[in-house]
Amino acid sequence: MLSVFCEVQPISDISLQALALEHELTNRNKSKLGYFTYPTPASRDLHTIFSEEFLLAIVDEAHQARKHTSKVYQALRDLAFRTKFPVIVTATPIIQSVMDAFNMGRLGRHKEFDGEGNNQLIVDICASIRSAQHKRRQNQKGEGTARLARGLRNGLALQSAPGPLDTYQEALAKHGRDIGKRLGDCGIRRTIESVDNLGNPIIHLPRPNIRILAVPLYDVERKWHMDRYAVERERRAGGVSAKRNSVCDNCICPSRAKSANFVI
Amino acid sequence: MDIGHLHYKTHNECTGLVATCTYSGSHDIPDLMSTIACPPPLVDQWLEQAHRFLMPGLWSIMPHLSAREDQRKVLFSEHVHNSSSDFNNVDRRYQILVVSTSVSAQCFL
Repeated sequence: MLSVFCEVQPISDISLQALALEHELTNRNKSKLGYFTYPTPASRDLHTIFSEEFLLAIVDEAHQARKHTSKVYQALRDLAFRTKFPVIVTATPIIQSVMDAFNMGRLGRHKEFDGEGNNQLIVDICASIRSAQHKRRQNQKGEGTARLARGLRNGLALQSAPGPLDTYQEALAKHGRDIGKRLGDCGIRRTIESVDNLGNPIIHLPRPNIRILAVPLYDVERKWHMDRYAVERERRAGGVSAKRNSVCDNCICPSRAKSANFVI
Repeated sequence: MDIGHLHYKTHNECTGLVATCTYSGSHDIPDLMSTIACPPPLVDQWLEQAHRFLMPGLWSIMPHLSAREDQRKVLFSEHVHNSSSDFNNVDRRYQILVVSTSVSAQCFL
């Protein structure tokens, strides 16, 4: 489990403006994604959580809100602006890009991630990664590799043994390490092996101990199972059991027709 | 209202009872409720764990599971904003609102 704790944050009245600015900055190069329009404070419904202020906000399973274009992220980011202590908790810290890790930290409003300077930082990081990707593509084009072969080669390079990194992978590793260090500085990691100062386990879950036990059946149970087994065996052998025959006497079904043919 | 907050307002000093009541160089803990935003299937689990592990009588816990306007109005006008409701009971010092993330996303825009 990874929890990101933050310092005390001032509850800002201009959260919507700050969010809109941040959204504009992060989506500057992707204008197609900028379809969210932020409501004005006057149009806010009074009967939602966005009209309240909170002391502590715990966001569980925060990895579900790691994409900054998703509605859940936008809502939780607005909620974080209304709380003194935003805390994010996740046991599945999956990220698919550097931006995802940055967003998860930004949900907690830590000073390493929050603010206008850090908005510019992530824009620069994304630009540098994109330019490295572009440079790699240009290099591979210069070598004369076909487009499909390029994709295959890049995919196979990920699965094969680690070799020398190209420019794109170097940029990814460098910025990923940077953001990971920032997350690690403000996060607390708890596993089942974690202990406190006295050496006692913090998480009081027992270790999994799986044993297979042979449980004897009662006579009644064994008779019931053996009866069912006998009926099933008879049915598979092609015959029709007495019970089934009696049920199908008063209806027209394939089993009755079959039994009639059998009699003839 | 929080007892420590009330004492600080009247006497301008901390009660000294809670060791962790200082943060950021100030004793003035704001009297605000807390919220837990979790996926919808985990709301029940959060409620159950809160009832199991927190001291009974000190907390009031309210799930917020519906984004429908009429149900939201009932929740906020009759419980959260109503000073005489059980949610705002004076004996209960801490209030928790458990919100599912889908509800918060639907209410957002």
